[in-house]
Amino acid sequence: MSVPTTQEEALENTIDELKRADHLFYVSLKYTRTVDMIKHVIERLISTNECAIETMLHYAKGKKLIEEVPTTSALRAELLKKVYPNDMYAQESLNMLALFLKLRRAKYAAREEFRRHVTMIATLDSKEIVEIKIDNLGEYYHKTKDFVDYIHNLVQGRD
Amino acid sequence: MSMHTAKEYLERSEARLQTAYHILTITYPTVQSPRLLLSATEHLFLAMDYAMNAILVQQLSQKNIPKFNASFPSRYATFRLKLANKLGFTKTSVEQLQYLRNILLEHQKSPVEFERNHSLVICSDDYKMTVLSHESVSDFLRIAKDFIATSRISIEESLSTSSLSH
Repeated sequence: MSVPTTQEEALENTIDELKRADHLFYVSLKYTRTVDMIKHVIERLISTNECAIETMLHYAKGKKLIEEVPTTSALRAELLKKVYPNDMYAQESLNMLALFLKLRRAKYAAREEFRRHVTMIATLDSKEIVEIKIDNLGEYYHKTKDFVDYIHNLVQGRD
Repeated sequence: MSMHTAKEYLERSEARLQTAYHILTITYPTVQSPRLLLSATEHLFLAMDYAMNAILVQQLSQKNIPKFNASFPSRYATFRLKLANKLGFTKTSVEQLQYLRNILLEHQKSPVEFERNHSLVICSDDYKMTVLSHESVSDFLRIAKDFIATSRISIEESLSTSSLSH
């Protein structure tokens, strides 16, 4: 994936990442029903949300709301929080991304692999236990897709 | 080790093999993430390990081998030394089982791993590098398929022989 310099390039990267997440969720996870595939979907949702945040910041730069798009994901997330404090989609994406990053680090166990109710049981650093199943992962996927659609409309000037 | 029947182990083995096949032929070409190759390798190791367990359980029930420990080294040694040749497993496939396990252990201990040229590179503490590419994992898949097919044939033959003798 190339480093985007314009909002159009960033949007293109975001859409490509979403397509990969879509395939992992609708084809591979539904077929394999394994926890490692849940992990791959989470990884892809992380990169989709990160690309989407980058796109929104390029858009903000075009609107002269910021001077530069930061080079690291953490700084980009921080900046988006400040620039769009009341944007429901942006804030929801940031919250979701924070959870995904905790899940990436978490120790986890598998339950009911190869079955419809395959579950990743993650123990976060805070000792909180989070269960990720196909259904709640689907909700995260749809929220990510809504965020990407929203940015797509912003960039294309349809909002 | 909680003992299942040879049939149950073979079913688990087939499920893992199917998953690895799906990852390599459908998911990887679309998503192009080298980390998927590690997942496929893990499924292939489990597929071969379950197939080996199926053989061990079957042979133990027929009193062809002594009791063995549940650990992988003990099960693998029993299989390799007492059964593999006799049942027609190729040397390459028997060695691959150990090799895949070593890759997964290296990955667990690895201080650094990175993606390069569509491959996943796993580095060890002593600068040894293991490269997982689509080609190498596809070779693992081919060998694992043969290994599991040989296991199935061996178990079916052994079942038919024992039913004839009764």
